[in-house]
Amino acid sequence: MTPENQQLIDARKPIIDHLKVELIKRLNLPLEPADIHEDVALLGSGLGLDSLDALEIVLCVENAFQVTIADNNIAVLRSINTLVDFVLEQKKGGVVTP
Amino acid sequence: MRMTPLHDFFEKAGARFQERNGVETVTAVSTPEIEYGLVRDAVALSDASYMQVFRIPEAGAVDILDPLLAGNVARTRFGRLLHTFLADDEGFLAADCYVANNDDEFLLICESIVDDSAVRHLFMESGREAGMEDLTETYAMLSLDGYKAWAVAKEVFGADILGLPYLSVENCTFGGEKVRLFRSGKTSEFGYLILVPCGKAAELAAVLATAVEKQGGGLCGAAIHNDLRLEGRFFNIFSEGAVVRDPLSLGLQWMIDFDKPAFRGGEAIRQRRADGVRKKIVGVRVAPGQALAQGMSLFDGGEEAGQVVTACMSHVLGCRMGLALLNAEVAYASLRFHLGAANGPEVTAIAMPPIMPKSLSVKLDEM
Amino acid sequence: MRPRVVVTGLGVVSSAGVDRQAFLETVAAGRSCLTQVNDPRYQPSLRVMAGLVGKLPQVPGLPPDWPALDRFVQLALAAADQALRQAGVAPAGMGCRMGAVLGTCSGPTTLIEEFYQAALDGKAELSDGQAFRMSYGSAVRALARVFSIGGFTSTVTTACSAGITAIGTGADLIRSGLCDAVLAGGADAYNISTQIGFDGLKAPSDGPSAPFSKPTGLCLGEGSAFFVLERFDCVKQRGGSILAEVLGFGTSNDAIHCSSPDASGTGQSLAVVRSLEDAGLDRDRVGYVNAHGTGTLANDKAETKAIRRVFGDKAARLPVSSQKAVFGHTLGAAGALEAAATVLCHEKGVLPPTANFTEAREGCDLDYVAKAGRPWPDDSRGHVWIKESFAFGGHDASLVLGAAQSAEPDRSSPLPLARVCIAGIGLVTSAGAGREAFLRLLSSSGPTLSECAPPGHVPFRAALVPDELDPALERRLGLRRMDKAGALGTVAAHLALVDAGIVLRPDVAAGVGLYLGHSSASNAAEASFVPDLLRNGYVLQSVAEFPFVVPNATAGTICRSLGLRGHNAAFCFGDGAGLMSVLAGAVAIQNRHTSMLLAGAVDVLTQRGWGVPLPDGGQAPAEGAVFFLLEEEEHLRQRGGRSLGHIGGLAVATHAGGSWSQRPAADTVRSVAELALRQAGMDAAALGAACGPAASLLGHVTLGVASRMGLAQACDPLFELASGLFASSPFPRTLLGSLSTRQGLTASVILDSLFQEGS
Repeated sequence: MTPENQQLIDARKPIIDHLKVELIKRLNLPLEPADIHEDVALLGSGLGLDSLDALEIVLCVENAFQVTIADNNIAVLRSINTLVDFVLEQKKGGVVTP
Repeated sequence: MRMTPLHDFFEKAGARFQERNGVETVTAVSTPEIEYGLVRDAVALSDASYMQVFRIPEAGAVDILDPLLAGNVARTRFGRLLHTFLADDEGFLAADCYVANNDDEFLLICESIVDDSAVRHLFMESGREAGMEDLTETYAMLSLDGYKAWAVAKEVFGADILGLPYLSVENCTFGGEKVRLFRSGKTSEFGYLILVPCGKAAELAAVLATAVEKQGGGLCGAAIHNDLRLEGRFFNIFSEGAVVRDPLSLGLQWMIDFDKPAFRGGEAIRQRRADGVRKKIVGVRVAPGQALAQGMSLFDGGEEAGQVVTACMSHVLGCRMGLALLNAEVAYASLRFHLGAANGPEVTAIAMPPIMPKSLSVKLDEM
Repeated sequence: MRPRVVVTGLGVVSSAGVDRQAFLETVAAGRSCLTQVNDPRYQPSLRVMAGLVGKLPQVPGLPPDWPALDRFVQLALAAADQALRQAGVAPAGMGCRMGAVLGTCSGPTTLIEEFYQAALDGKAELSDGQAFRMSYGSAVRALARVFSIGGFTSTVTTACSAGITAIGTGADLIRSGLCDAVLAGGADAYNISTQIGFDGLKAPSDGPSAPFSKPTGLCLGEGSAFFVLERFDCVKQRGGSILAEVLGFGTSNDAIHCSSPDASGTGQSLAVVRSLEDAGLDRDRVGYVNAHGTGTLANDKAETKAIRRVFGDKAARLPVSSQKAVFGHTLGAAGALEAAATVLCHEKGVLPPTANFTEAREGCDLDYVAKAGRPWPDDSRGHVWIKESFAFGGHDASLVLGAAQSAEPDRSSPLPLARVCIAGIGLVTSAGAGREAFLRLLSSSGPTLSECAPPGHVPFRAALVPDELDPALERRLGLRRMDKAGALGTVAAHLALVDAGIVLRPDVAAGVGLYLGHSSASNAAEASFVPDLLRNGYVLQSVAEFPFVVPNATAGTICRSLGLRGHNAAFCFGDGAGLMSVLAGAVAIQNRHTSMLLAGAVDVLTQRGWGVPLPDGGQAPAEGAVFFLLEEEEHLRQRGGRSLGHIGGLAVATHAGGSWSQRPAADTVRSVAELALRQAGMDAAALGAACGPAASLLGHVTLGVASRMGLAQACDPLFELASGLFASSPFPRTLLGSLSTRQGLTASVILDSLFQEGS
């Protein structure tokens, strides 16, 4: 693996792992972390979460990574990957640990 | 070849046809650019009669369907749709399925990548005694997709359909005949599938087409749906599904009820789940103007990391994008790869879905 | 023929005034009384406003041997005192003919917070007295004691629609002939954990709330309001004066979401339509709607839609207003306070305005009586009003009220009381789901006990329901994402429907109601949400559980999972809540609110609800769930269903005197049983079998089941009744069910077999 890619994985993986574990615990999902593809839709189809679940995800991300997600920013709530992109963008340059 | 009952209607509109798995399909009516714009900005009517549809009386439906399909059919509530799949005995995809619990009947809607007759044989063998019927040849299926699809559905079937949540079914009437309306869609815009008896199909298509035009829309084919699905990261069995076929690598775990004692192919899927998924699909994009097509290899440094399984032009991103099947250890968005060789053109793995459709800002249930 | 119900007394306590006069002046002027919340525990970054009462007026005190009760009880006592004084009724002389129904959302949450703080500090005390202080039922027990109310008493716990549902339930008790007068209303005190929960839902406004106007958001409040409801003919007889009439009552459940309203307005409009049907009035007769109008984006838009759904083109000309900008969202008190505002403002001839209204919001396009009040329209339409309230758990409620002058001319007589049957029973016990498991446990030597040690408790042994019930049922009902109470309740409700042969097609489910009775209102969400807040210094870490802290969440979960949208409520009755819920459900069907209603209870192990010294020593506590499907006899006959028994008579009394934990005397228990027997037209000698404490008093051997299955606080009397029904199947005889509780209630119900399949 190229060192650049390894670096990108090191930045991304802890956020993904944390979010999956939290999502399963907080939302009582009948899945294992490995069962949740990072691109699967969170709301509507896919995991089929609802508006309260969305607030819970927002709170979870905000508390874990010290970021703020605006009330109307539904674009970041589309998948785990869009959430991770948002967190990394907000923390640009800094180290992100949950 | 099974012909579509809407052949004449679409032929008159200048549509092009193609055979897929022994079934005639309307592939396109105008250009991809135009058809794409119709769906994203207005609404497009297309023929989905290539889908197979089975009807089974409610009484025996769960007992027949639950052991065959991967999802939790037993939990599918009245009026709702379950999105799941049918696997073969080895746990590889055979058909993408919607199961609709519609009052006194269950309807099964399949997009399959195996032969029509094989799917029919499987379901009818299990369901004949419970009264299962194959509606595929006696009904036509129309698909209404786009930012303004709801306005067309409202005009033709009444304002009540606005209250229909995503993944649900409603009975309507058209010309005295019962028409089943499914709120579904895989384009990220509003979508409805409309199941109509063949005798009324052309007439309904004409009425819908008129309403579609009023909204600035038009007709489209099945080909553009491949691009729309990919851009919205909706699973497409005809593209990545047909190439990869392993539901776990495709990230379809959400379609599977792991609490179920058994389902077709379930044992093999469970075994692969226990072993750990070694390859995963990831969204990728290239620089504007750069080619990207199925079968191209991706390199991570000097090592081959995987292959492109489907690709299209993304009008939102302004470049080609696709899905690649990558070794799980490098299957992460944001990583950079090279096409064809270690020093080939750059490919970036991206978070999916990359688009924010206009439809997401419209709340139908509040209208 | 059902009697008419009128209002003869009103009491109000809120930030807008702690007496009728001050309250009326503030509300009629549309003066906002919201002030900044200055609680040191509250995060300074979150500056919110609320309608706070401040110092309470002098209220009649409780006896010195009673433990100190929550602020919501004090608020209730103050408002009830005003109402009873105005009406001039003397409950002490009325015995069981006078009842009390109190609605609350947060109940004793301040004391509950103190308990969890003590538990975190390792100092939790779970004595009987402490359990009583933390009970949602503590307020109505205090009302009964202070004002000597001896009839049917209960606590409605449907969160923000509890006030309306309490008044509607009170009216039903009178129309069913159980009471001649009922003290009904709501009370809630402001507390920080509720505020923070709403913050998590992003509901609060940055400044003073402005319903239907820009900007969006709600402000909480606190307060209480009580109505004295009386039988019209009783008031005429005693020459009392009438303030208003309760014309109709209707409820529904959205069956969509635990906290968000049905955005289409369907569920809310269903409640309003049902209340108009109950009143026997056309929608054109309505001249004013007092809205729920919380100020949130979701509520105000959905409510506007719902009003348009009900009133069609006429909605545009119908005055609609909300008082929540004046005194805040007072949750369980809101419906009662706002109904009181309507009655008082009508008397003064002023349409109560929506305060703080500046600019209409998108999707809010009705006549909201913006900013200033205006004269009440002087036509007959002005005499009929709707008060609507919507709540977490999807519980919607609507009341049709009429001006005093509308009470004068004779209205056409409403339909007679409907007859009620039991059409199905669903059971979950520590032996598993279903009747077979129940019977197996009944014939066993005792339940399997597990060691339990909730935090802050002395370890004890209990009969727990296994986490894995029936895999097929779990998949079918989608139990994996529910809490245990929701899961057990859903299974029992489902089994009762199956037992009755009901297939829940959407049109059927829309008409099936649900009454859930609970003993102490403690649930898993509360035991996790509140301590988490305390541990984190009142900073919210998770909001998913907040909508499940309210005690009606379990009822909401059951309705959502089964799609039930019929007549709906949740009650706290103390021990034996399941039987009380069946009685309340029977009253609802008698009043034709629905033709099918699931009534029952759920018991699950929780940190706060268990470990209290048990009343009868000996029996280990047990988990379980039970629902009876109650059905209107004519409906059952028409669909060709089978009746397990017809409810021939029912009677309820509350021990009003003495201590807070005193059971009713044997004499009272017996006389209540005899009252029920008389209603059923029989004497004790004709009884086939009897359960509960009245059995031995009437010379029968009781069918006690607790020794075989452990003691399920809320379910137990229904388990007994079910065992009696199963034992006597086919049902040739009559059966009496009874209870007497530490909360002072005694009740009896007679089941007879007047209608049988094929007869």
